Amino acid sequence: MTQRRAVTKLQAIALLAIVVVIALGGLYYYMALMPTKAPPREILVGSPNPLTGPASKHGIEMRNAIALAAEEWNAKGGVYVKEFGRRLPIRVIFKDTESSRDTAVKVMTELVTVDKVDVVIGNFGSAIVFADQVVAMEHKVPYITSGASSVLLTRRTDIDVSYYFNTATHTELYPFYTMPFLDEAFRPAINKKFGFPETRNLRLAILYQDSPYGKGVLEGCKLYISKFKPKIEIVEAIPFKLGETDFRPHLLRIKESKPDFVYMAAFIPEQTAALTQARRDVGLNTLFQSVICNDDEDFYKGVGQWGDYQFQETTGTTSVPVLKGPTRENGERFVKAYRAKYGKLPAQMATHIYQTFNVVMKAIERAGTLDKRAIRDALEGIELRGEEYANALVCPFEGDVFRFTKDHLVNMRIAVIQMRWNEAKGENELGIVWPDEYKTAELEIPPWYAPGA
Amino acid sequence: MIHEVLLWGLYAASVYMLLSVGLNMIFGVMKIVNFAHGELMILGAYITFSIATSLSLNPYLAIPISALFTAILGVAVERLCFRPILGTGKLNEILVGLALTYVFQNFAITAWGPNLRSLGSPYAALSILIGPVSLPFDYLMGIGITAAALLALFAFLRTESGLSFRGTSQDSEAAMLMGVRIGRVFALSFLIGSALAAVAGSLWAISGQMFNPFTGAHLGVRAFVVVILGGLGSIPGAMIASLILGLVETSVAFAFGGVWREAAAFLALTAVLILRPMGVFGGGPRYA
Amino acid sequence: MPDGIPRVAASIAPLLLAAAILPLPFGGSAHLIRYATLLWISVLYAASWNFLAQSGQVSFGHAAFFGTGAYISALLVRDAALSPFVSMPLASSATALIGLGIGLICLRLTAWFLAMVTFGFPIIIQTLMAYQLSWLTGGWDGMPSFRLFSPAMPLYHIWEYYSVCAIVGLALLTLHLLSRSRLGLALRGIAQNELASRVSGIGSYRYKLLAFAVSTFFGGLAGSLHGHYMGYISPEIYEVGTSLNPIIFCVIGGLGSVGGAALGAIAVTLAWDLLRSLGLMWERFILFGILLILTIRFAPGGLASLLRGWPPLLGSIRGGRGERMG
Repeated sequence: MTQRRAVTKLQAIALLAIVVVIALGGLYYYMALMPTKAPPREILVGSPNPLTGPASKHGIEMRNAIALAAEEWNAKGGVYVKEFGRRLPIRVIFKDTESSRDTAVKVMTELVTVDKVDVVIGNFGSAIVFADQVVAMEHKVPYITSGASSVLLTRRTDIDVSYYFNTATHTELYPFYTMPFLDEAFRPAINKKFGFPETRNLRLAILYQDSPYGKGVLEGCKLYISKFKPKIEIVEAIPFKLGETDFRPHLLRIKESKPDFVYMAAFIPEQTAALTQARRDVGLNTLFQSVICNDDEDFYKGVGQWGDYQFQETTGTTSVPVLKGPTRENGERFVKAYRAKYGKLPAQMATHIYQTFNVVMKAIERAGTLDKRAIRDALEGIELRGEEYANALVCPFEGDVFRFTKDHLVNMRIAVIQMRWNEAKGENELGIVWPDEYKTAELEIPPWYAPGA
Repeated sequence: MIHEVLLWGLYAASVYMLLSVGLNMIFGVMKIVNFAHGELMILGAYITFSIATSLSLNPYLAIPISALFTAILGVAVERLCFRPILGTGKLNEILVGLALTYVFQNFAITAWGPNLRSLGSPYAALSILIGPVSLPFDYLMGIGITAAALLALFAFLRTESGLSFRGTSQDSEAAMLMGVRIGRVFALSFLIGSALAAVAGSLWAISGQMFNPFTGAHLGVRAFVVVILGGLGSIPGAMIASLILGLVETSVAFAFGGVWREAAAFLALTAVLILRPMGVFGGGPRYA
Repeated sequence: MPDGIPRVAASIAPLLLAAAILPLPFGGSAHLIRYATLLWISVLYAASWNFLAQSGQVSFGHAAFFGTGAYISALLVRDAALSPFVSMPLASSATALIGLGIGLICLRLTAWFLAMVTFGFPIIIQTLMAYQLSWLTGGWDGMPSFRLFSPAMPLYHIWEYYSVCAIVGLALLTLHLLSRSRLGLALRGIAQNELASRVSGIGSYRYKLLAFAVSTFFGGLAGSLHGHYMGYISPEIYEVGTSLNPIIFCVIGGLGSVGGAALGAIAVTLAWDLLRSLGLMWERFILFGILLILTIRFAPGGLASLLRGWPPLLGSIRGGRGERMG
């Protein structure tokens, strides 16, 4: 070394600080890895969610719902596990994925190898789950998500995903309800109002987020049309960038295609901006259907008067009208309990993870052990009906039975809400207009509505 | 249809303008690009939101108060964060800007929560027919306020303090030798830039956008593109670049679909910079 | 000062030693190994960015190369049935070619103009990958990227870890040697004063392009390692955060040396994960931001500059703050 400079006090302090930070880090990991005294057995649930970053709204809602569910189970003394001959309390370990794939992988490894959790429940976003799924599958830990909508998650072939289950309303599902709604309810309504012949195809435009989410909705629509040949044709399909705020050029394009109806796959701020700009700015006087994930108090408030007459998919419970059927009572109770605890209506993400948590606990009860393979098998074979179905679930499922399909997906029912703006109250009132069994209001075509060519 | 595409391109440009002019002013005098400018914009919108809802005030009346608060914050940021590291390398300034985005975004979440907010306008239902198109009253207000703010800025630059401003941006050392207190000028640039960001954010929210601390990122990036495209430090450049960007983006999104919108903005930027490496109006700051 | 192999070895050796023995005391804990593997990959990524910054060219879009390396390597393994160990250098070379092209575009640009143009490349390439090339890449659904070793192999994660260590170590050594060579000298000269360098007969364009090629080669290598390690890639790899990370690492660690980049990556990642493990939520971002500002305020030359003059410790980590923008 040619120049050997004296170290200033400041440098020494800074260096010391670094050393301390690194030492503390090392100590922490050492502590984390120390074999702790075996505590009395409890059911350990790992729950990674995006608690910070852009998706934190959803992550926090999911954490809240899981905490509520665990609290309810623990109030009953926990889950009865036969192998132990008693009820075991549940402990949930929450981790923050920061919506980052690297962090998600790190915390998943921590959950399955350090905390040694029995199951993992939670997480949001398909890209994140594609990454941390690899870790959970490698260690053969049952992993159940309700916040990742890609169907490919359960169908990937590069790794064995037999321990992974997806209870989301996956994107292929939406069009399988929205299309029949359009075909059975909306198309006849406009045919009647405008005197169109029964043979006329409904002109559908699709405005979708350029993401796995939006792409999935578009693919689902195409799949449905090719499979069931409804009297619906897609006249335009336009993608937009995630986080877009200016939809005017997209809407002009859609206006040019003269649609009868627009199906939009977007998140809340995008949906609000598009609905506002459609009628007010570009004079696109048509009706929109907004996807499941916007079934949220924030959306109904934020869209304001521009929500008038517009449609929204729902699985029930998030919004005020809880869907009829066996799960209704439990749904109403859940909404009340959630609201009492967190001062807000549960959004769709919260609702879905809440019932997912209940299902997994039911599966553990049935497995009668905490053996991971047995829990996985119990999940695969689970079939909740009658009383059990009504008490565990809060949203209705196809045939009023809860079970996983062969590829570990579920078939949740979807209904369609029509919003009506109440000027005096300054809020949107929600009525379910489809299907008939859940109906609380009649479908209305607004006076300003203009059908396509 | 074409005239509608042009119209909305122009409107998009007016949204970019306030944000990028403020950013460019700061660059002009301090030669730093404040990475947290988009976050200041969202903070401005939040403050307007809080004032408007807590006092049940017309949001337009809350904007000046919000601008004042954001301006004070801007000055504090300049004094505490940027001034001490000035001249230690551009990357250090970038890092401070990045660090500030973390601080602001998460401060906003701590204060206002992660939920989406909206700033309802009392005139939301009002539209005014101009020729063949009907423009929402809020947009006209937005364009009017933007124009007024820019005119006021130009008027300011003609005054004596404005002169020291222009002098500093051309040659800060010479200005200092001439007796200009450049510390004051630096603070003033942050004051004006942050106030403009707050106005821009509030107007954007009033126009019917829901926001949380993360929704400002897109607009922030657009403002940077505009500043670089127009030439650093050139305010007319920023205004013209806003127009170019607004029109290019809107027509590309119309013609090729929305996915190419952002990419097109950067392709346009790259193409322009290959021809003119210092931006359209690059090569020395200009103020009028 | 002699710049021989011993010096180089002395600088990289502690790092390699640390890497090699790290898993041992922890009994091969999967968590620590994963943590360390991701850390070494980000060290390489930061060092690759640093190499370009040495020439005064600051990239704001290194995610373009990180992501492209990952995609090309994954495609080569899937469609050409190559071993990842063969596909990674190929993918890195292909990335370097793309980097050369982008370097050509950027040649006349300086400072902010260069920064903004490079910022745009990940966005443009992401759009291509997710949209135009979706028939090949699976679009937004992403595609699997095969692991370095099959998980069926016993102790594969140990093998995986040491392979990553070896590749990263070799790459860091190469980068270090390159920046100590005539090339590195010329690059620093260009960064200091492009005109003067040109006058003294250094063909600045050629060197700047070479810097682009080398930097993007190793950026692509880091990306392909990351892709094969994670097992799955999707267009999210091009997000802004991927581009900003190496900047934070290098500025905090100290610009202009491999050691500085490594120090920064390690210190920042550790500090970050420590804050997270304390259970802080948004406060930790605020705290982190303030920490970054304070570091720059009191050590404008990065952490490495604090170590200058401590030869017994890290003699070769000498944050040369050669670069100047604007």
